[in-house]
Amino acid sequence: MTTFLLSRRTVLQGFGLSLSGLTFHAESHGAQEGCTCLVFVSLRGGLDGLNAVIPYLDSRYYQLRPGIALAAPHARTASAHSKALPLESGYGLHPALADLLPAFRSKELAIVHAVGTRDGSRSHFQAQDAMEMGCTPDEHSDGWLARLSSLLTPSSALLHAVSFGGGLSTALRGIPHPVVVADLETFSVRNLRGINNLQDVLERNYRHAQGPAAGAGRRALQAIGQLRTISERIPSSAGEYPHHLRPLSELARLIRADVGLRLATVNIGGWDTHSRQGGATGLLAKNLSHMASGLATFRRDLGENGQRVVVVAATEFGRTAAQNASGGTDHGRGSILLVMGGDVRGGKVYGDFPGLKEDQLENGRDLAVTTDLRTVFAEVSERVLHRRLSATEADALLPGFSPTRRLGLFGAS
Amino acid sequence: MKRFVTFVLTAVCAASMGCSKTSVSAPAVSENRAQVVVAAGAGYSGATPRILDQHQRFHLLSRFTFGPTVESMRRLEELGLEGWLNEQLAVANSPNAELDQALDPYKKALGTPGDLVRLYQYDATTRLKQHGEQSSNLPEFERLVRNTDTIEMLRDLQMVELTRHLLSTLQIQEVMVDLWTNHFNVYARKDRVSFATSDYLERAIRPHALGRFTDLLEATARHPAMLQYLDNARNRTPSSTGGSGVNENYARELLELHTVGVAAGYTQKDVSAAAHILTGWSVENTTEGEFGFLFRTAWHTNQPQTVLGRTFSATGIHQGEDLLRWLAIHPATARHVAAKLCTRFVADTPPSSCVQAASEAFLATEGDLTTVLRAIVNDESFWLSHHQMVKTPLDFLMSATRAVGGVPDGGHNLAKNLDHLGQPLLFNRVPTGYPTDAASWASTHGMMARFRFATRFASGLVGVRLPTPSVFAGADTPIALQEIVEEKFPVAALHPEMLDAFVEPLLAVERAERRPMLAISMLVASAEFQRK
Repeated sequence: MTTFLLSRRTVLQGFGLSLSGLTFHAESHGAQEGCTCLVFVSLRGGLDGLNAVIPYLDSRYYQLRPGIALAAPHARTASAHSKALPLESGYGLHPALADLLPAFRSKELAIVHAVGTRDGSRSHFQAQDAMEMGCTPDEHSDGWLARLSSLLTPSSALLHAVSFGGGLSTALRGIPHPVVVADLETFSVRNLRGINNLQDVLERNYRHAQGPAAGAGRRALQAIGQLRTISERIPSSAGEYPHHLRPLSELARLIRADVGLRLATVNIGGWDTHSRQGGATGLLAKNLSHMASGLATFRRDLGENGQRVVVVAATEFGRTAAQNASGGTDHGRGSILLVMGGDVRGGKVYGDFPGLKEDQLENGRDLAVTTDLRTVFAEVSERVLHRRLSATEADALLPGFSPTRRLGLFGAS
Repeated sequence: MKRFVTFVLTAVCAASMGCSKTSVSAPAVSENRAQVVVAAGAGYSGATPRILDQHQRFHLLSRFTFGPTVESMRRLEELGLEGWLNEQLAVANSPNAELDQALDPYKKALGTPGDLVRLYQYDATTRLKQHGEQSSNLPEFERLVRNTDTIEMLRDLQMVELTRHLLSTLQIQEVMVDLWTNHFNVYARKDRVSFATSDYLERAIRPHALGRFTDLLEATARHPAMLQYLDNARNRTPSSTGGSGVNENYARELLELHTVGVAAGYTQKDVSAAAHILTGWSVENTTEGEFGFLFRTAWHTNQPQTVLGRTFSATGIHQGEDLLRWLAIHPATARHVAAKLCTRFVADTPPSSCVQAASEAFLATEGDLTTVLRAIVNDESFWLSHHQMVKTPLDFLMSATRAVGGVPDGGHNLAKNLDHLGQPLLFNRVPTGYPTDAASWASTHGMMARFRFATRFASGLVGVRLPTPSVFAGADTPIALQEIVEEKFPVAALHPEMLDAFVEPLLAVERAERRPMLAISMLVASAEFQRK
């Protein structure tokens, strides 16, 4: 492994770019400084937590969801592949999430249940904002990862914060110099039919250009060059990723390239299951299995780099406790959250399950939120910072948030 | 190659002195060019130029339009500065068949809030019937269907705005519409604001964009889009709610962002008093889906209130009207709005002399916006500020499309491209609106997005129909292409380094039909094109 690390660094140092006096040295960043890379996966659309991590001891679960409920692990009537997989303390895992079971059993994966935002609008956009901003738009206009970044040691790495997808994610909004990557393989400005040197042309153009856009342009061209080098020199994953989880593969390459990546965001959509979501098989099962397979492959891909990578996967809200007449579920409140890697105290389902009786449900219809998402954000932030947050820092990061109690996701509680 | 030498020469002059006369319509007589440059350069001592040279025309159009085009450069040359300003500021609508035709696919998004609610709820009901759904949770399902439609509607609305920005000949009005849409920002995706934004732009912003600031302020204050966005629709006197306080959200932004600004030194007491004055300014709720302005007398505090030392004693809705009219022409408002306009048109940090001139024009005319704009154009700092600003993503997208004579293709791709560039139109959550300064937009990922856009743009992948024949028709040789670029792209005020970088690869591309793509990509991605 050492040999591989050395050779990889040599390779990366080889592409230290020089543009207009700005020299970029692609030295090893992460491992040297003991930096943790935080990966925030936004499960957009509202994941049905009740069918992902099943409270099979609650008889109301079966009353509310006659057509879509998953059988308990010990159920005799059901066939093996249609039953929930046993986790602990009355929770079962959707069989489509079986790929995550090894990580849970080896205590590298923790689950939080009945978790959510303060936003009760049940609107995708508002709840996604609440989740990714970690506050209301009145409190701050930037993302919670951007505010976390201001607490970290300043980084000169070009690729210190990367947002995967079409645009900058809300969670990273406001961070200095983030990079947005749609797809590492195709990301370059050479990608124009018949013309293979636009990057060179632009580099020459920007080298001596004046004005504020020129500096940013040079930086962007460097980032593009660096991404291209990574895509050429760092082999892509041997593992298979479902198509819409390809960004995780690209992300693993960036982490393995060890270029100082500290904050990354990835979106996984497809959770808005208003009709025909299915039970052990069907729409939701398919999406869950893609996510599980993608995250499991990602973990394998990282290898020993996994130690310095924390993955948090959260959704803006869960879904109604009862199924609707279309065999689906509508926008609700509490859902689940996954934390993987970075020596999380895994193998456990955290949080209080509030129950599914009518008076236990929020507005008589949704799984209530008993853990504020921001409890997790605060603990993950402390893990990334390797220290406790001061009260002032906590308020700046997550305004108005005062944890009633810690979950103890990391280290000694 | 003689032509190329001319090109380089003019470009060098343009870059170094910011005052050259590049050849759009003038014959290429390079020997005389240098003298013209020197003469024009000497004229830059400060006084407002009466006769604009090529570069000054380019500068004016870069700031007060969504990007210079060959046509707008010619029009400005024909009319001269005064004539052009008169034409633009008169805001007389002349027939524009190209615009009308391009708008046609998007017109479904135009209507009153009630129109749109009915249209889209009707759609949802029809769809439900078609699907034969027997949902136990009908309202939820309806909402789902409606939400899907709402985003289509809002994309149409974005395209309406972008199409007007691109094709309207009244460009100053378009730029001002964008400015006020941000000054009086609403978030079109918040609840029912989605149905009201179209009407908000049509009736509150557009008619007053070059009118009087008072009218603009009052129109926004009583529009359901603003009332819902900043929650004043729910602002009621504590006695009517059993004790919970007034909703100060709108009142605070009214003072901080819309009128006097923080520099006015108001306190929480002023905010609270203003909120009390505006209690009851709400929206109706009819079964037909209308939600127009409604003053709810029972929600109004109806006591004299003091804001910034001035007491407002009128009863009912008149108290709020008095407040708005007073705030609209307050000296602090004049300064705040003047600074906003100078920041947009002159510099990220505008010189105080310019803000002063604009502010005085505002006060002297009680907020006549055309007078304020003339004061800015007439200020020497405007003419000295060429190339100093960075285009916003909207500026960038519009100016690129205008430069090649592109027209929206009837779809939503152009609006989505603006999302990717970082400035989704009408989808800004924060009441400050989008910034216009370089620090906000000249970022690594912002520039990466522009590079990516440039390649997609040249390949025809951004929802823009390029004119046929292409602006590059006849560009069979590199020299011919250069000539066309020089003629068609007023941005040919380029660095010599850029030209070196530009010409060589062009010569290296063997297939002539591919050269225009590279030329467009280069121009749009170039450092020079990011500036205005």
